[in-house]
Amino acid sequence: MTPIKNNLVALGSAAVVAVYAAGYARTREAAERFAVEDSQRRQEYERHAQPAPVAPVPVAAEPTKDTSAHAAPPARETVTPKHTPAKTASRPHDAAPKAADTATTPRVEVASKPAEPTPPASTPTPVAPTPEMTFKVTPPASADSTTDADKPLKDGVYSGYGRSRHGDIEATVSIKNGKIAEAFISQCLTQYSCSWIAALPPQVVARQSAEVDYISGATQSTNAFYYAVVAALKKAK
Amino acid sequence: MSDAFLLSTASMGTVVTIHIVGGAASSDRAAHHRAAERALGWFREVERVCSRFEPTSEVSQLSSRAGEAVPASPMLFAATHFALAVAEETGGAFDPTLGSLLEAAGFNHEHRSGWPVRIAPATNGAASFRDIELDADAHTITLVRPLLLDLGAVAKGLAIDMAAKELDDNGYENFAVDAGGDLYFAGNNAAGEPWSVGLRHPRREADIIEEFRVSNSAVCTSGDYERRAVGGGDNTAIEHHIVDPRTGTSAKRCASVTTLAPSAMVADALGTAAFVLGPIDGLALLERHGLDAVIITPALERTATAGVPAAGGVYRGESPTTGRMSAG
Repeated sequence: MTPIKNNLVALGSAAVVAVYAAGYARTREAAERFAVEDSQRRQEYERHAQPAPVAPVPVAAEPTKDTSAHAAPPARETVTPKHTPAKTASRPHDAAPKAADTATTPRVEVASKPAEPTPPASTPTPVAPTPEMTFKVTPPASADSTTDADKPLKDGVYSGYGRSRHGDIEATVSIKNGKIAEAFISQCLTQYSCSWIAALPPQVVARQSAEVDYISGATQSTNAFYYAVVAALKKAK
Repeated sequence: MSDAFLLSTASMGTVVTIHIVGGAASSDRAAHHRAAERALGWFREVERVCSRFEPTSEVSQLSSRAGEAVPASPMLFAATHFALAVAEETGGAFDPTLGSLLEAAGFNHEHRSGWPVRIAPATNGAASFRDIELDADAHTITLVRPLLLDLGAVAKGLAIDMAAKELDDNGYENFAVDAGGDLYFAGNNAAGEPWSVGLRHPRREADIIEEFRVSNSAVCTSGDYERRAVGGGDNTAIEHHIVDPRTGTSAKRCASVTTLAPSAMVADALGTAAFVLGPIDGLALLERHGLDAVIITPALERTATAGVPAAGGVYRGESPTTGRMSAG
């Protein structure tokens, strides 16, 4: 019997480590995509909520002419077309800017990887600061300092629409005693089922805010819902 | 207000949710969100490599190139290597070459769209795991004869492990990765207690048959109640998706096997093998590998390893043995 046969647990752990080491850089792609989407959404929110931008900081790095939200991505730091050998196709967005980019070199890195592991956890790497700043700066600025946001919510039931390229969503909020007592999706006109974002309305109530989580794979619907709630809350002012 | 961050996606025929404990502060939430996205990224990655439902996946490509030594990615190689090791250890009670049998039984629908897929080459029903050769030096996989490699019993577990590894490596100690019936729990839940796990009653959908708490362990259940092949396909001997590769019919001696292991991939694959082997041999297999499990038979008889806690008790696995990448 070879060692393999009786040590499946060890073999399983070894597989995880090997795969992780080889693909370490790859999941950055997802994180970066989120960062882009997030900064887009926050910018959108700024436009909607406060015509006179008070907190331009996060936008500064972006090009000025992005009229549609979708124009923003190219703005993310200059993506140096870096050609990693052979596997380029599978990791197109390795988004070069990271300083310690050793992780992008395939396989051979396994041994050296442990030495530069900090980027994801502690130092957010050059990519992260943008969304990080966006997070810190805009929500307070847009939600609290605008004239709109200072007004208390008037009791009643209000609906608003949010659009996405997959269709529209109507959200309804019910305000009681100045608080969001209920929130729900009153119309789902997206081409995908709204069950994917069923978790979002309770978040609106829990957080007393339109700031809901993203649902991976349903970003468009999430955004549409978000805008719908923002629109509904506006009517409650 | 909310002290757990949740992010979900549809992957591998189920909804996958990452729970990260803590995160009241919005800056925390942003970091949690990035980490959770990375963790979920592994599901997409594993699907891209290992799904037999995607014609462009690496495993599908491999299945169309029988007779060649095909260079494999580290992931495909590791997953296949592990699947073959389990096949060998179990004398073929677990076999990743079941693809064509399952396809004949109607398990050939892309899970999200429901569209039928046809990616099977002309397969020979007699193919077995012994028809796969690995070359560890060249990192190649050779299918000695045409066969459909099905890494289903390995891939989801691998994705869970990768997601857990990603979170662990990012410094998270309290989180859960939930992929349908398969889960990994690290540390404690939002209430500061080990995560609570309920085992579904194999015959009454809404009922929990047993409940205990788990920390630092994967919990995976193979049940005969999921994905019954109703009306699909022409092989009536296959009633549910856990097939005994040695007979080509659905395994009938267990109704559900819930396995606790340090890794979801190990729990999934060995749990599936145990399901096929039946309560006695199956439990022996799991014990031999130091795993714990609860097996419920179709007659609703329960057997379990000694390590399974009594109702409400706590099962503590070892915290990740491999250590964080950042710890060297």
